[in-house]
Amino acid sequence: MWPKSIAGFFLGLLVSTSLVLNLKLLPLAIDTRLLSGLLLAFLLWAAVMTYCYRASSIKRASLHCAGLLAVSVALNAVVLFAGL
Amino acid sequence: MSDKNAGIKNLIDAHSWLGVIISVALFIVFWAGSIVLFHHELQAWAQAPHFAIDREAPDLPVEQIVARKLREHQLNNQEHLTVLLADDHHPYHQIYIDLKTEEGYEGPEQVAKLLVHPKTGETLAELDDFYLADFLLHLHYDLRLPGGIYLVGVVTLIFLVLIFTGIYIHARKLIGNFFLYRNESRRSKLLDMHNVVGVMSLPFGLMYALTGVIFNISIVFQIAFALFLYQGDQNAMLKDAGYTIVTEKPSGKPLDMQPAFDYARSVEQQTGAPIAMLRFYNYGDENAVMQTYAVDDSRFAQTVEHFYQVRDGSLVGQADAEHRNAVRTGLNAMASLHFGSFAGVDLRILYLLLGLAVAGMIVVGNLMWLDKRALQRNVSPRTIGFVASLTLGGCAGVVLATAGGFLAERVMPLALAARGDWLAYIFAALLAATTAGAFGVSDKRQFLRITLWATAALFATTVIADWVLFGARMGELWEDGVHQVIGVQTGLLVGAAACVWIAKLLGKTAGPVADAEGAEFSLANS
Repeated sequence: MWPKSIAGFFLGLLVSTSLVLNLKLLPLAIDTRLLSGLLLAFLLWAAVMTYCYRASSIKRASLHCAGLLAVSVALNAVVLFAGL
Repeated sequence: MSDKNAGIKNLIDAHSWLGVIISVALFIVFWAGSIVLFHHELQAWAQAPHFAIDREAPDLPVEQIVARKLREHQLNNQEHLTVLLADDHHPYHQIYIDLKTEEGYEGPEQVAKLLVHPKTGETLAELDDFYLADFLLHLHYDLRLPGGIYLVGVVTLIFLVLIFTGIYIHARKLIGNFFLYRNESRRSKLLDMHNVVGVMSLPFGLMYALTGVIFNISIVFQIAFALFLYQGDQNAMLKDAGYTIVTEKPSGKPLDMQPAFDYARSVEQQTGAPIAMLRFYNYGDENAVMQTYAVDDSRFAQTVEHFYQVRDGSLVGQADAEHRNAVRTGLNAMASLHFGSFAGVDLRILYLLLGLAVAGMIVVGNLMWLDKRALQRNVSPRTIGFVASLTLGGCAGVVLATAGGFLAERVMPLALAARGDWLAYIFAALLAATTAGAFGVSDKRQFLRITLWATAALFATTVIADWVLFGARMGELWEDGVHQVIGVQTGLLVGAAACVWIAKLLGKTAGPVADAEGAEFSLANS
């Protein structure tokens, strides 16, 4: 259970952080984006942890999370460097 | 086994494993949180019997009280001066003065925390002398441990995962089995209680888990937002989040502060929302700013906050119904939901019952884990004994220690030096003794019964001490509108009765214990 916990905790933190940073792409007021980001971030974090606990193979679950993280980080990079 | 069934089995394993790991901490958070819903009432119960209040007498103007306190204490006006004003819930003013320290001082910030009579301006006591309510509040959000706020944040995050896993496990039966009760075996009763409380309190639990993590560890995402969205400028982020940051430092030129107090009164008259707090930055200086804070009871979770620049009467920040910010409004709504402050005491009683039910659900979850592991041969008896003792010692211990804290708050002399510290020591000693006892005794069921009887006795003794020490003043307090004293006494007596009822119930259902090993597991099998 410890490998699942460690993978879920850290991958959940990274995936949730990265995904909510992409909220910048949505046409919302800045305060609405910040509040939505804060609320969504914790729900996503817990959801990723739940996903890791559900998986029979933590290696496969980690790869899925890492894939999602890679896509999201690429979008973060576009947002950051293109100044969107 | 299909992938879905394997997933559910994995989640059941994770649910019980995570539940056992965080159970004691989560129990303490829910237990202390349920009691501290009545923080104002606890403070009034602790303080009011010691000091006479004549509600009919006029209040002394707050500026006169502040001037008097600043003659007695040397304010460091680079920091803050904060006044929490007396109202129906708090009979006395609470004044926090950041003190000047000697040159070269490098210790912690020195703050005078004063309980002040609103009619006479007299300093009645140090605020820390009445520590029970604040101690329980601390226990709720940081377990009174260094870095405890983050620990409780992680525990709450895991509680959120437990809710998610619980929903997933029961998703197919959540509605179909809503009214299904089983009574075929003792085991299913425990499971039923766990499931029924879990389902019935689901919106409540979800709200607490989400608001709890946001209050405790939102710093994680604040840092990420500040770094990526604001290039590290945290003040810019806080400004967008609706917070006013006063960055000016004192100029050294003195300034009359009377216009600030006049402005606070005018805000109160204009908005109809009584000012709850005044906070001064650079007090008495040309750069002085006063923050006023009030709660607009005519709207849900609406606060009225002004930042008033004293030298020219301008507003440097404002948050109210006309000047909304989604972050502030959202956080205010979360705080109102979390503390049950958007309605009367009846709502908080409902919150208390739900909170205690969740605390009970946590204990039952551990009992089910112990039951299941006792049947499995791959778990060592030592592990099972450890979990049983920790559950008993941690949970029953914190209940007993709370009762001891109530009695200590009532009977310790007001003149006792470091009175608040003594309360914390008594709480810690009772918790440690109960935990040690739980590890030491073999008949855990009997130990639990004794702990419950002791808790009931402490609660009842507290009420008796109330009447022995202050019986002559009870009628006067009631007539002065300080109903919190009788209210807390009623709560303590109900708590004592509940402890006696549970202890008797445990006595009736106790079965003979065949051997030492059976006795070791008797908590699990109760």
